[in-house]
Amino acid sequence: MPTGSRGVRDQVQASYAEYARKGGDGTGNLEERATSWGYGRALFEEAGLRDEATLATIMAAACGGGCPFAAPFPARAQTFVPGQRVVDLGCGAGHDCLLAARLVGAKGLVVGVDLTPEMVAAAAAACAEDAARARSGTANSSTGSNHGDKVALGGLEVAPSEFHVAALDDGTLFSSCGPLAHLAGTFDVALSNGVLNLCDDKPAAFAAVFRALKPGGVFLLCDVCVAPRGCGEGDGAEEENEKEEAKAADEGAEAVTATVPQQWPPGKKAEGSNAKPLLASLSSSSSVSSSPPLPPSVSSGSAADTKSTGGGGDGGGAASSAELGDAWSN
Amino acid sequence: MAPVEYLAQLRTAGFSGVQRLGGFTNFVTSSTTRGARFVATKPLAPAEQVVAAAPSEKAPM
Repeated sequence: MPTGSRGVRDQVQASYAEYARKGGDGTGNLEERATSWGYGRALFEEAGLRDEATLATIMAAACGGGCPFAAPFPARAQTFVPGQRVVDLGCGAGHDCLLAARLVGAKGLVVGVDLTPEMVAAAAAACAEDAARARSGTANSSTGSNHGDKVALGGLEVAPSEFHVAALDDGTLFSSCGPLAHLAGTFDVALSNGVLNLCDDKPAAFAAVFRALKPGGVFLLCDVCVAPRGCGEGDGAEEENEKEEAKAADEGAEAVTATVPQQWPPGKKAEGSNAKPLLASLSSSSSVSSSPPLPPSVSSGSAADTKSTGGGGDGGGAASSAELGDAWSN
Repeated sequence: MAPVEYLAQLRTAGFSGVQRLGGFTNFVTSSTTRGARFVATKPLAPAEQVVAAAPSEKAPM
């Protein structure tokens, strides 16, 4: 592990613990965040999330760098189908776990892993609460929180979930001697949302994701990039993909098709969250209790990308021009 | 990391089908960082790979 990892990890852990303890400041623009990350009404409906209070709670708890569910992407229709096993590496307060648990249903499994115990506790609580809500078959209505109105969840089944405190980049997470060795190679889908930029030992982190997945498993990564020339749609992603494909072809790599089931839940859309309608209004007065609305800043001075991202994959903060130049040059 | 570095890290780790799905503007993003999404697949084990059956020429008797 590179020198200084402990320092970076301590900073990340301390910052996120503080946010978990604060429970968010309640002033974040939840709708704007949901929109900017790619979460939208279509995804929430696909996941059976129809009540505004729950949505507000989820997005208030969100720390990340985007929406790993956002379609389109290859194999989207074969991803998050009932019965699949999903691991969220760097789950934070669990908003993606909660969505995944609803999408894969009772026969699936969702495992969340995070460095910060306080975040893991928040994630476990959020998923337990949602599972209880699903079991009871009701939720607060969309007319607002705590009004006593109930709406049926339509027999929604939520996947069991479990959570672990562990560092993604310590090199042992899913190895034979690691804490999650028993889960290595068992996941259909791995998510990582705004976390890898915080890892000091990135090769170890990517290797952990690889070990977690079963052959044919899909890794969905959202993160913050250093992007001095912009990093949005139409910003060169296609060219990058073409270069990568050409490189892979040169090296003899083969395109592989995932072997996950081909079906999509009846009545559900294969493309989820890039649809226009987003949270109509995520009022800050909705119950926002357990988790931070925004990732905290992580101070600079270490080798990890924390110095350029501001932590949490949210992309706050700025890298120096020298860093940007180095990072961007291909 | 820059997007291209994410792609490289994914490939180095052994993933195939690595693609960047484009980016998005994060609402707290600074002018020098942006969110980006990627997808990658863990290759099937050789025995599991479905090899497209290419028409084979029969060897002359």
